[in-house]
Amino acid sequence: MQPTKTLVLAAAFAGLAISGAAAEWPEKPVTIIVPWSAGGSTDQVTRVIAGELSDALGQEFVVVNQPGASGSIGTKGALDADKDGYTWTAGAAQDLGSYGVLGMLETRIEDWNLFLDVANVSVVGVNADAPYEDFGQLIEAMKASPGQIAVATAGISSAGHNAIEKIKNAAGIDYKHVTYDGGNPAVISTVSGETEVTTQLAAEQAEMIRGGRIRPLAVLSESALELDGYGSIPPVTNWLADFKAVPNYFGIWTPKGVPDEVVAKMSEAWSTRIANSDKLKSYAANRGAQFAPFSGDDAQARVMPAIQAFSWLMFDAGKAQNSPEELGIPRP
Amino acid sequence: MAKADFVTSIVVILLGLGALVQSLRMPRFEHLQVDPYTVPGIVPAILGAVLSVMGAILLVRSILRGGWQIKATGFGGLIFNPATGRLAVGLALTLGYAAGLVGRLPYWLATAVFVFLFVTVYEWSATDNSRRRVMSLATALVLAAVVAVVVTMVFQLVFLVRLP
Amino acid sequence: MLEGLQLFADGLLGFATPQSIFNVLWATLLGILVGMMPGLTATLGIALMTTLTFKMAPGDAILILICMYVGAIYGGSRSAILLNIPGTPASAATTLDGYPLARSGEAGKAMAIATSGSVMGSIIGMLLLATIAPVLANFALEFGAFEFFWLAVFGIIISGHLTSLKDPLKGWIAGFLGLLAAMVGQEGIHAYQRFTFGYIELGGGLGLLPALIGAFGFAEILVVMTQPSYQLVKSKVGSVIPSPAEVFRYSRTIVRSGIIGTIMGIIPGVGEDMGAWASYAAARRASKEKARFGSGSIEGLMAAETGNNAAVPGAIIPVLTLAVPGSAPAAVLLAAMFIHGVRPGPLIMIESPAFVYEVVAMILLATIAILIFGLMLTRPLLLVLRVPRERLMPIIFVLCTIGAFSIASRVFDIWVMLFFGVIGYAMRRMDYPMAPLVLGLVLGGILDKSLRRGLVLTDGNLTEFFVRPISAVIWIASLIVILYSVGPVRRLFGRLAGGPTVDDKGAGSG
Repeated sequence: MQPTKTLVLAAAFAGLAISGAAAEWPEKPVTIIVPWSAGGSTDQVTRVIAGELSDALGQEFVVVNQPGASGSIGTKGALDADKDGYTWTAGAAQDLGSYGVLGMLETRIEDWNLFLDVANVSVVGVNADAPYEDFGQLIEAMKASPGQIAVATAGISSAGHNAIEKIKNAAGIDYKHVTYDGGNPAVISTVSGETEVTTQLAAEQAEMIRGGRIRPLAVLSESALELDGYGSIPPVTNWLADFKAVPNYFGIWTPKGVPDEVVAKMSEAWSTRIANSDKLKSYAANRGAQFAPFSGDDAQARVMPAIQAFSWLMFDAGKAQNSPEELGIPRP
Repeated sequence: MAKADFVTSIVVILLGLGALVQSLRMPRFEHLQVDPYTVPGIVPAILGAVLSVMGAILLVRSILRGGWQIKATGFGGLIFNPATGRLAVGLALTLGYAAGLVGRLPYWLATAVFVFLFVTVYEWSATDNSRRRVMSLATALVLAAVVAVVVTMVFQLVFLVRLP
Repeated sequence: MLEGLQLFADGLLGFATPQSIFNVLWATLLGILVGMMPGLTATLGIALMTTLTFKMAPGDAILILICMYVGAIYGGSRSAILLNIPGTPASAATTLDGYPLARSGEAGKAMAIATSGSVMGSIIGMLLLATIAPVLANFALEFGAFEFFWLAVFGIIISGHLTSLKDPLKGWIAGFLGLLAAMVGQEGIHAYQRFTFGYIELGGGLGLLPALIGAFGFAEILVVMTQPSYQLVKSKVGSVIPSPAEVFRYSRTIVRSGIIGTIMGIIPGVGEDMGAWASYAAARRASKEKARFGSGSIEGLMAAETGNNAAVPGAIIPVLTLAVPGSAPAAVLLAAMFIHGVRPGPLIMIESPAFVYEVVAMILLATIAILIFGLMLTRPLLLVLRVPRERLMPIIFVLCTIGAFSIASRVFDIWVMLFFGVIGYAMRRMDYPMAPLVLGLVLGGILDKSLRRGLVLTDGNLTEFFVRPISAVIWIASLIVILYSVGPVRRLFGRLAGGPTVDDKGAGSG
């Protein structure tokens, strides 16, 4: 009797396995690999997206965190997975496009189907007790004592580091770079006074700005940032007229080579569901991000400026292993 | 324990020194003008040094307690020891499953085979009563089926894990 | 204060619906099961439930997540007591006294004590959360690079000392091996690959959870299977409900552990595991029966379990008032709050004070649920001890394997689990404790980055590390623990204290 039972169960399982081949995508849960730890800015927005997609496509979208090596380990997982549309990954397009240049992963931005959700901007914020009332005063102070003012970022090649490096080039200043494990710890260090300045994303500073713990001096963009519950943060171009700011797009993506049907269905979900998602819109407004539901060629064109700027910044600083030129990234 | 301490202290010292040497050879990124206090080798070098010192203290202590003496029976006794035999069986079963079967066979099948073998191997040798052996085989079979099905179902359907 | 009480009552009444009560029950039960299984941790459970509760109303979703959190931290104690395998890292200290109690036939009592400890810990943490959250939150900001560095050192020193009382040197060696193992992989400042020897998978480092599952779970399986005969334990029946008198007897331990656990929870990045260790250490120092610690002390078990559960509300304090997570599971909870449009942060007491008290009410409900399930599940769980090892161990190993794998769906993590299992087995045979090794893996990254960050901030001036007030307290405490374990120094302390039985009187009075 017992062996029969086992056989029946075995047959049932075999059936389960075979039925996985055909049918319409998605007919089993879809995995989105977040290559950063749970709770970070990529994780948060991706969980909003996963919830909306689960609803729209009638299958669970499961978020799996695989942090490590600036997101390249999790991204590699998605790159190496079966091209069946059941494995996606998420993050900032600027990172995805520059892994090749930095020698972390052999991939180019054109190898991916991009589905963008929000664009984040960096904000220069200082401790509420710091003496700098506007961005001009901060630049003066940095010029007066080069390399003495501590700037907190989420680490080398993070959005915050990228921002302060651009300011350094544009204003001719020098600073003391202090790195933290992520955007939030960097912001906290400025709140507690361990560092004086942070240049992390608006999303990561939003609560502290609203709470009066951080004074925002400028946003790295060409127009002012309106933050719910605070007001307007002036653009950096008020002080550095020829500063070129490019938005940093976030989204989910899967490698090219997945069935056309997957891309078509996702594009449809993107233009009907995500583009009208109140949850994503209010999330973005809350966190000081721009709502950016783009996909396809439009998305490819939008992410390129940030990849160009960052890749060449790294290459010119001698921190890149491969020339952006050879990887099809023209100098901006 | 003095002998175990003697052996492990040498391992710890070598490990600590190895880490120290490796750390000192880590890049300092001078050409990138990085802050010298952020170079990657600082902390592992300190840890390696501390480990070597602690290993040295342990080494001295174990020598004072006579741990360096090698008894002739020591080695043979270790190999032909029933505990070593049981360890070898345990390792063969577990490593064979986790490093061999999982990922090659369908997950549920690998798990069923492992549970069945594990129970059978240990219970077979525990008795020579054939009736008991049959009972044990039957139990192993049921247990294997139940564990394979329940674990597969729970992790696949409840925790939404894509099984290896 | 009175207004707070009113808001708390409103919050509690708001959850007095059949739907909410049903949610509390299933979420807590699932949390306990997740906590019991090696490999499934509170962090994983909350992350999973965040996705599954996405469509629910914010209040319901956050209620479920908090029940999951409290349940999982509590659930880890079950496997720690019954199998000597901590279900989550938070229960590593619970094994020290819980498992010896179970082996001497007192598993029922041990589980009852753990339940009452967890419940009391939750309640103390909850009261602190409700009364002085804003003040406590600012305390978290006092911890900078220097304090984190010393805290990591202190963690290794006390856990090495406590898990290897006869020979702390070996505990510290295990701890430093853990710290060194944490150096493997890409480091956090220059993204340089340390000790990877060209092996790509090592770039992500050795995962904490696979290491934990291996060092405790797999190693324990090997230990059990290599014993010639294994006596099944006959547990005494009738002792599964904690007697109020017994709980009252340890009221000092409970209150102390509750406060220490909450404080450890508040400190960002230091979580439930340190809550348990620090409470355990403090309980041992203050105890009249030090000798029993590590071989089945009720007091020690109570301290560890009170400490880790008190850290849960503790970790939620900075989540609510600063939007800074106090521990890894709390980080996911914070993310879930953002996703549901709740805005924790410095403004919360002004913008939506009601939400703070709703969270307090949620913790209370989860606590009541663990009490109910704790008492109900004790008897069925005792059956685990009656299963022969030949049948129990393969099941546990299957769970260890799938647990290691499911953290990040990586086969490499199974290899890490196996590696730490074999090493852990060998080290245990040579009397090295495993808990400091695992704690070293947790704290290695903090130690590394804090030291370098501190040096950058002060341009290499070491005095800052020693003179800042909180730093000074922590390094002096670490030094005392080290000196105390050196024989001659201990005798000196003993003479100063004027007591003949040096080991029992302690260095505190010296």
